[in-house]
Amino acid sequence: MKKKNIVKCITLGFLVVLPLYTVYAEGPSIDIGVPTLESQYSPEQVTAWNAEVPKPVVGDWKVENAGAANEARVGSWSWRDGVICITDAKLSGIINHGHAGIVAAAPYHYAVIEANPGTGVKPHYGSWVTRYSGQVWQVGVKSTSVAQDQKAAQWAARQIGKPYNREFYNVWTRSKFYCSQLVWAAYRDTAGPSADISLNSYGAAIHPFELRDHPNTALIYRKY
Amino acid sequence: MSGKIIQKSILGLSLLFLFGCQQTESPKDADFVIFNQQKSLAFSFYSDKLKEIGEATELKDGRVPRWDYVKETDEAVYGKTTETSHPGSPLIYRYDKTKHSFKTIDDGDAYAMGFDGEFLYRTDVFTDKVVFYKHDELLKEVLKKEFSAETALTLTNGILPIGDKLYVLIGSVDKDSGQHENRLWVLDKNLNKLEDIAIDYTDQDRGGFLRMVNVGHKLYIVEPSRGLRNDGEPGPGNTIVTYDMESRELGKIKVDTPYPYDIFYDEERNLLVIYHYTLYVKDAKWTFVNLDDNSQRTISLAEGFDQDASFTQHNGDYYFLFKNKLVKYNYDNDKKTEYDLKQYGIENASVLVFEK
Repeated sequence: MKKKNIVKCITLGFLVVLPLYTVYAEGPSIDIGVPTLESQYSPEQVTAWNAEVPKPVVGDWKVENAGAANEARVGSWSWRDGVICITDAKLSGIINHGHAGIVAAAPYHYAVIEANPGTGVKPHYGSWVTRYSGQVWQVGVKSTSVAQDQKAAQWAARQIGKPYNREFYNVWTRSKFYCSQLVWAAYRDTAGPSADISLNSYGAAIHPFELRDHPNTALIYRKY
Repeated sequence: MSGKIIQKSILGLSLLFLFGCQQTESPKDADFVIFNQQKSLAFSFYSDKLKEIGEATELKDGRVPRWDYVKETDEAVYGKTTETSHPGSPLIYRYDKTKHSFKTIDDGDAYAMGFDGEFLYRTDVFTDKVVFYKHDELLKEVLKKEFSAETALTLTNGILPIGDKLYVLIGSVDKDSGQHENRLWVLDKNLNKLEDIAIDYTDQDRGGFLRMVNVGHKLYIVEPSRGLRNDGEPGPGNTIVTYDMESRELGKIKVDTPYPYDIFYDEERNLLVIYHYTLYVKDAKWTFVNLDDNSQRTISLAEGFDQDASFTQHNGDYYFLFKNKLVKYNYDNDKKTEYDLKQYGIENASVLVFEK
């Protein structure tokens, strides 16, 4: 009888503790009870967004012929205002959340404006090539001009200080942002519907890889 | 019975001879270790070649030590990791040179770091505040202080412990004008702010002052870029800003190669060692500024763009660790020795640590 009770207690203990451990083990930025991005998609959807749409790296075509002051660079990381940055970021072994940001305009040189769970919208300094050891992409919106890209970057800078948006389907709010929503909104709100680079593949939420794979974006840079 | 004892003795002696006398090298016998992704590999120099000793340790959690955030002491290396899998959240680590082990904390960023021989100081930057942390040498937090941001953003680009003070290089953005400002905060070691000093030398096309070193009573500060190029990228800077902590005078040293991005000091030769941003400067150029006669020498260490290297000094030589090669450079005879690391499976080296 005593042994049975001990076994029951241990089993019950495991059942209570294991889910908590699983959630905590995935990383410090995930809160218990708060919906996570991966919990809202099916395995098929996850597989679909892990498959990258093949695109050639064309470099920063908007300025390559603009008479660059220094040596020409094709396919390098760019600090031009408004360039979109994407990286893969696996919070678990299977699901690739990805992460997105937008190169900040002056006076935030060498910075990318990002929305992260811990800090909300904030400029983070340093190239993603250095900050992230995984894959990194930079894309530009085909239908916008350099000046419009700069406006998108300036718009993103005006969102600095706003909190993180955990309601991933709520993309139309402008009082809080998650990473890819911020980048999408920066272009959507400054250049109009023609610069909407969401694929709507995953309901109304916007995944970072949508920005990379959208037909209206071109690859400026890629690091494997 | 006695025969069995003799047999056992012979067997025991044979085993002792076979295994006991074999000298196996451990990471403790190595001259240095190289971090390649999460793992560190130990090496020795052998007749001007490298000899691999073996794996020393491994950093867990998929995050990798960053090549550009390294503070080395006799006992340990302090740094921060990449943020892969946790955007915005690097780990702060201490690598013990003797034990070949990592200790990490997951408590915000180390936007700037400085070590005074006893305590590690680091900062975390938020939009509304800057947080200063003071840790003991084993990363235990001993003091924490917050400063509300009075400007749109207050960055801490560098911390130098000098004497009983901390000099903090600040980049800020004025809320009304949007103008960038470079400042120096002077703190005591209880993290109380003593002074706030403006150190800009111009109102036009200000660039951010990113890193600094201390030589005597002067600070030498790099200004990588100014204004924008035609292609929208940051424009080239050519200036090392000097600040005299006694006279409070600002000065400038012009470097011939643009985009000076990081700076080190060779005390033995009284040289500034300057890294130029390889995103914009081709062929991995490094400049040495001789503070005795103000002469400059620029060397190239690799071909093409994006050839970053972490810099270490050891026994009078300079070591530049690229992703898949190590270059030893002797300033006195201008001799370069290159070691190919690909043959050891190293394709993403980040930090080089010489043994204690």
